[in-house]
Amino acid sequence: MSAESTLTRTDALFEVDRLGKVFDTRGGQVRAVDDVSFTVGRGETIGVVGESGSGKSTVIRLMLRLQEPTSGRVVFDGTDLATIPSRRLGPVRRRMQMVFQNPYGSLLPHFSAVSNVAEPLRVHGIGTKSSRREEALRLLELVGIGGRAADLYPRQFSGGQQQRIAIARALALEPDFLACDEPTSSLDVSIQSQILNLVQDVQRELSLTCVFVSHNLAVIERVASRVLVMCRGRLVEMAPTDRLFGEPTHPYTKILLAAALPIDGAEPIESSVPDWDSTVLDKADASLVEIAPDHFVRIAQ
Amino acid sequence: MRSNVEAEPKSADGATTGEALLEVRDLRTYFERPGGDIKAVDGLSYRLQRGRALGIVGESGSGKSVGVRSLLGLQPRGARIVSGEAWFGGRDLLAMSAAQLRQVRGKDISMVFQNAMDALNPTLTLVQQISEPLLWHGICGKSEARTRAIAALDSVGIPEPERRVDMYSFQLSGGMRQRAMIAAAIVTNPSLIIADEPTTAVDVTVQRQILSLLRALKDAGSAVIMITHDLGVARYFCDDIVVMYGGKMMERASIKEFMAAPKHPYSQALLGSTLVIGDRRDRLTPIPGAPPDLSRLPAGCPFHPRCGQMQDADACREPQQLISLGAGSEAACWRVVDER
Amino acid sequence: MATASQSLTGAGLIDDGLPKARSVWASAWSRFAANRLALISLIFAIVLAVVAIFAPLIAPYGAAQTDYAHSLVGTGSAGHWLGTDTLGRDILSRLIFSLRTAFIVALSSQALAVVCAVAVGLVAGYVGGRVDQLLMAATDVMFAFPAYLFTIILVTVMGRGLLAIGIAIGISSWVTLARLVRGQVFVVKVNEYIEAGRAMGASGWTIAVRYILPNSVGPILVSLSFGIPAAITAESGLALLGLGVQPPTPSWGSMIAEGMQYVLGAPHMLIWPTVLFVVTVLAFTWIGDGLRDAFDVGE
Repeated sequence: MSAESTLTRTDALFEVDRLGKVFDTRGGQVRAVDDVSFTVGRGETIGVVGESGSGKSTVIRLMLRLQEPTSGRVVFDGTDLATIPSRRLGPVRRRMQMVFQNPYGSLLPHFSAVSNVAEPLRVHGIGTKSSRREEALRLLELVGIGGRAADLYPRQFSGGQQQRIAIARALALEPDFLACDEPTSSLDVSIQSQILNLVQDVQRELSLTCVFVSHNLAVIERVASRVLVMCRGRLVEMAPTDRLFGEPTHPYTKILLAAALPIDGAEPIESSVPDWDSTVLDKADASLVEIAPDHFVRIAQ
Repeated sequence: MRSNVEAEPKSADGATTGEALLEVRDLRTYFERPGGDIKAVDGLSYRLQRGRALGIVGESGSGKSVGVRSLLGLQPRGARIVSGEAWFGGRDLLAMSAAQLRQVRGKDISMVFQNAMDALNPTLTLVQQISEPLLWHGICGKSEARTRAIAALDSVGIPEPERRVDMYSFQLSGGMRQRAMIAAAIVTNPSLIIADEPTTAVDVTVQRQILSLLRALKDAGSAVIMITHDLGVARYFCDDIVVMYGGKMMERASIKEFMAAPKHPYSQALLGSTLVIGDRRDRLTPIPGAPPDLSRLPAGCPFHPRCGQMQDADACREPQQLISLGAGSEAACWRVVDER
Repeated sequence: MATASQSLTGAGLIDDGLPKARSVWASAWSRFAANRLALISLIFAIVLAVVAIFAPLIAPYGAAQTDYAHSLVGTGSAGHWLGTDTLGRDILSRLIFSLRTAFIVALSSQALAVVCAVAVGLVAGYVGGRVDQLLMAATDVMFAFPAYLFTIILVTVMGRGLLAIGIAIGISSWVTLARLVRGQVFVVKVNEYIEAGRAMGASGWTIAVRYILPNSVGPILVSLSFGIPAAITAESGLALLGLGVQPPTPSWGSMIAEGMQYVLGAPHMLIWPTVLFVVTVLAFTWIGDGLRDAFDVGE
């Protein structure tokens, strides 16, 4: 059974088909993403988990066309993104927005909070200066930054507050899709939960489709209904959240789960992280096999 | 700078502290400002025995990093150690001159940092870096140092150490670099290793390896101070824990005691806001508000504006004493008395 | 760094506890102003600028006003505080007018330099790739020319008018600034807010001019404040070579050149222009230092 046919859904907002990205570096070619295929249904929140070098951040950038794939294609709402010339991307860009990992770095430092949030509206020529400001203020209230605080500059906020501003900005264009690239990883632990609550609230209220990237399994388990596990640019396992955490199948997934250090439950044993050589993924000839309904694992042929 | 570097240390309960490798008493490090001092560390005290690991846990602005760096005179520019003592090997580290501290650093007390890329010198080969403390402290000669460097790389689990010892740090992968940094820290067999967020910037699998490595060192007799914001890491690795917030100590306890029953409201809130796999609640319980701005700390308990358990604001606005709860536990909150 | 104060709800922001909004410029200004030397130098420079603008009203005499009866009069003489030169022209007045010359030359040269440098540096830095290589090759060619020689050639071609000299100096000095701007653009380009700008659909122009340029202003301002004394020095050098501004328009360089000839008999002719020159150059250098600290001590 080919993975392709079972992955196609009619209500898919995104269809990612054999996506690949190769970077030319001084050390040779780097396969950041290799043969990744999945769909994202409307209203779904997909989690993408993996360690550094897994390609998870590159995947969402390819989906938003912030980078061009070297192979494969990204189909957004029925249209292959590669068929849209760069200058016509504007209307498409409005429908997909992103929240970045570094909250301070993602905001324009020389614009106030309200100007930052209004900027997407200005870029797309929506409304007048005062209507944009009003809308930006409304969005900031929505995320918990109200009153006079809106006129402060990014530097004057804490990390969690900056991320709220970034979220408000991402919502300004009323997108259908929100990509989140490790939005809580650089925040204090007690603040991470604030932002996650906010993201969930926003997603529910606005019926957003989300792809949430993180290296933190607990975060992924909380926000995602379906999880993609990536390693060295390849998709190694994909399943609904409960199944992935209950019946992890691929060796890499098992390693990730075993390596986590929880604050409760059984004490992790010293040797509980199994050994597994990830270079085995470099050998070609493996494909995603559906071992259970909607549960795919990469198995070497 | 006081001159009694070598006085006989006495512990808080009056007995002499023979067994503690390190005893810190009421450390205060401030950034002195005309408008009012920024109290980065305001009253940190703890004891650490050989072969034990102490976790110092806190969020932004807690003072956890400045606190340990003050021990070695490595506090940030503009920060001054205003008061306190740190008894190590019969001498007060905080009373030492720069020259005396240099004798201690890298030999008896080593530091492991968060980012190996920043901590290792890209223009030196590994053997040069790892040998440096040995040669500088006059522990051995160059060829012996090379042997020890290779042995150190081997002990941290770097394969083919004889070959890698002549490589540069940027030629190694992230995980190996972190291990190489640890090798440089342990080559002189220090009795105390201070690790400042050593696993924050690495993958979770590498984190386990690094922690195993540090645990082996601990079992061999070194004491470890681990700075971290990750309570899971503290639970796995540390024997005792100190929780800091806004420069002050909130709680001190054994890790088992802490995980089972945290006493301070901040500790409880922190554990309550930590994500757990398998959590089925509809919403998480974060700590509302934002981390403290050290230049505008509230009066008394720095946490009370965000404390969901605050019942008597007046009592919270008073400076909180560390209330002893037996078995080495203490918490800085007047409410703890009520519950005892 | 001030963060908004805490409250029990949500993000932790309550109105009456909030600090004032502080933009990047406001922060830089307060850092600059905290530097006493830089601040005093700035005030001094402003005073000089005012004097230069209102020169005809401030100077007691005309710049070319001769008075053979009182030629080579020394410092502190009646009616001529700083003395007169061989033609009886009042040194103080000539200095005031030469300030005007200096500022016009300096500002026109720097304005030209900034415009060229920003245009080239921004495009090269933002677009990168082939365009960058091409532009940098072109600037390298210009770089290879000895700047002074180039200025001399330009002046000989364009004549010795004030603006011509300003343009000549500007043309030979924009290259370094272009490289600085390009370097700063590279630094700013990797910030996530640039990627965020692309994600929201901003055009290249918007990103370059609205997002990158304002954050690259630091090196430009610093270069400007060092460039002004450099331009003044360049003009003075030209004057010493006889290629400076046409007399009788006074310029520092020509005053110093004349003064050198009479140094033994009438030292005041050399001393006062030199003193003012040195103090002015120092002031702008200190302003430049202050600006560099104000902008570099960043996030």
